[in-house]
Amino acid sequence: MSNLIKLDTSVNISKLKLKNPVLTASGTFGYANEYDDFMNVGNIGAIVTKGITLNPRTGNPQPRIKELKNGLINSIGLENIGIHNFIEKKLPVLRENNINFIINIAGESIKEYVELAKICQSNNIEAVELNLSCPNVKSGCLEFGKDEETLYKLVSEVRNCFNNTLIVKLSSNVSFPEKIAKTAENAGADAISAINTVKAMHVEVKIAASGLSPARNDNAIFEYIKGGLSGSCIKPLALNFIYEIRQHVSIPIIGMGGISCFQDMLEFFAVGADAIQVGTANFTHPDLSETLVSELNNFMKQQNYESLAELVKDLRYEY
Amino acid sequence: MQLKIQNKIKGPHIVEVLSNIKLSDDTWKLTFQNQTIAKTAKPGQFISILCEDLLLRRPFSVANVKDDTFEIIYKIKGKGTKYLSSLQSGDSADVIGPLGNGFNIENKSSLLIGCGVGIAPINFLSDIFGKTGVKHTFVECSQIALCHCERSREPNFLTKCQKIRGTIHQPLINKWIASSQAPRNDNHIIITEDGSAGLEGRLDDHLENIINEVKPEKIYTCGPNPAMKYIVQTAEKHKIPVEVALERDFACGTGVCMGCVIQIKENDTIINKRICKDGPVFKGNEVLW
Repeated sequence: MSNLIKLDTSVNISKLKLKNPVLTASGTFGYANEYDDFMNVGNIGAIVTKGITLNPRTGNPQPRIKELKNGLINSIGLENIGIHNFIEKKLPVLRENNINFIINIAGESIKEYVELAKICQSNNIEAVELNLSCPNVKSGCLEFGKDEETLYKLVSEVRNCFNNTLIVKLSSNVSFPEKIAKTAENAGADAISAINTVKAMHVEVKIAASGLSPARNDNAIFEYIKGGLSGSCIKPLALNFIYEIRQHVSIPIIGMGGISCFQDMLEFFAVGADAIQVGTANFTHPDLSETLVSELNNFMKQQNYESLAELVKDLRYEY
Repeated sequence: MQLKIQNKIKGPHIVEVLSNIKLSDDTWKLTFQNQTIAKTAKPGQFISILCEDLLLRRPFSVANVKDDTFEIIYKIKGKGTKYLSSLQSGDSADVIGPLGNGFNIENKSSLLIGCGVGIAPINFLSDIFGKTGVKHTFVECSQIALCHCERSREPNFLTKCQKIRGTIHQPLINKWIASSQAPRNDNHIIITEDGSAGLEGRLDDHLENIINEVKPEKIYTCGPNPAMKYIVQTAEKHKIPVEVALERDFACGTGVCMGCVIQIKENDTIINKRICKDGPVFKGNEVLW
């Protein structure tokens, strides 16, 4: 008989209606239906596309990834097919397969963000996530997400030419998260997503058997990579970031950073997220996002929740 | 909401371990039971295994398939392979695959060269060629002769090999073929660095001779990059096309993260290709080594 109870797992991110709060993070899920071999992509709330720039990018040289104990450093450098290839090749796939999606866009200048937003508007894209937080490109992205004045200018200019749901993706590499988040809201953002990968570095020092020579490092081999850190090791940073900004903004927050199980998802709801994105864990468990949706359904049934909103309300940690 | 029926054709599959055999001091062969992978895997494709206490999966070439089972060959190098070596018959593992493109199988007289654990996909390819009757010669170049020791099931194999050190010994080769389970019509050449089996030395001591003798129309190889680069360069002199199976650390293994890209020369332009999704098999002359 329990089937007769209609579970409402839906959540609205401004005008964007999602059938459930489970999304997949930019850069971990491709552009469209790449994960079809592992799950039914249409079952999750939405996918967020790989970060897309105006022109195609070839990205950074190798090494691009380094696995750590509980995390991953990446330095992909926004390799992507560019907005025009996306519109031509990937958009039809998303629409034909009824996959809910958010386009993640990244620019090197405010002008580029505006141009990208105009293209999205003219193609009637329902939602855009502004990447203001990628740590792996020389110019743009994170530079725009750190400074309140620049952020305000960028978001408001994009807002002026994009009428649908506008999400601003923030980095935790800022001094005052609440000020940055408030600025995004004031400039017209419909929602905030956070956090992007965290600036990090990995170094491996191998000392030759003969030892270090005085004042020289000829006998040491340094292997290093600088990039963005993701995975479960950044979850505490993400939870804190969301907790801090939740008190200062009223727009929806899409939380992410190290989510790898159902319990993690509940923790993000508790600190203030309205929806979540699964990122690095997609690499290890390509069906995780779909599993989280079914676990959420089961949990709501067990706990007698008819709507996600009620569940989130009860989970919310009171400040 | 109603969830649609799941369509997990590439997993994650929970597969049963049938056996885990030590082939040498540090190299093992693991056999799993899974019909989907065994029926769909092509030589050159790989599977990716969830390993205890590791964030990322570990990729391994499919080394052979038989009925509803498939094999991998691995060398213990780090935590992932150490975990694999702990698996026992009856245990289960979480596997996705088969992934990647696989070799292009053509009916051309072929030379197959596997170096070290790179023998894995070459072993599988050799079996497919054997079954389909494609004329080919199988060169195994390693510290010790893994596949042949195992295939020949001859207790005194290594001793006998030592007696024929430095020569390609056809009668013994025929005997290995006869003793192998799969129907085979190929030749096997072993090269070991210390000469403990087959030809003594390194690949570059023998490759020219082997090419001149076998006169292949096509070469397939997998092994360390310097070995494959050497093979491609040597084959170019003889105008023989080469297919190489590459490897690199993967984050996703499914083509979404762009972590494993390599530069490929295609129609005079240099482009990025993903080893895990566009490869791992590429035309040797298109790879910028």
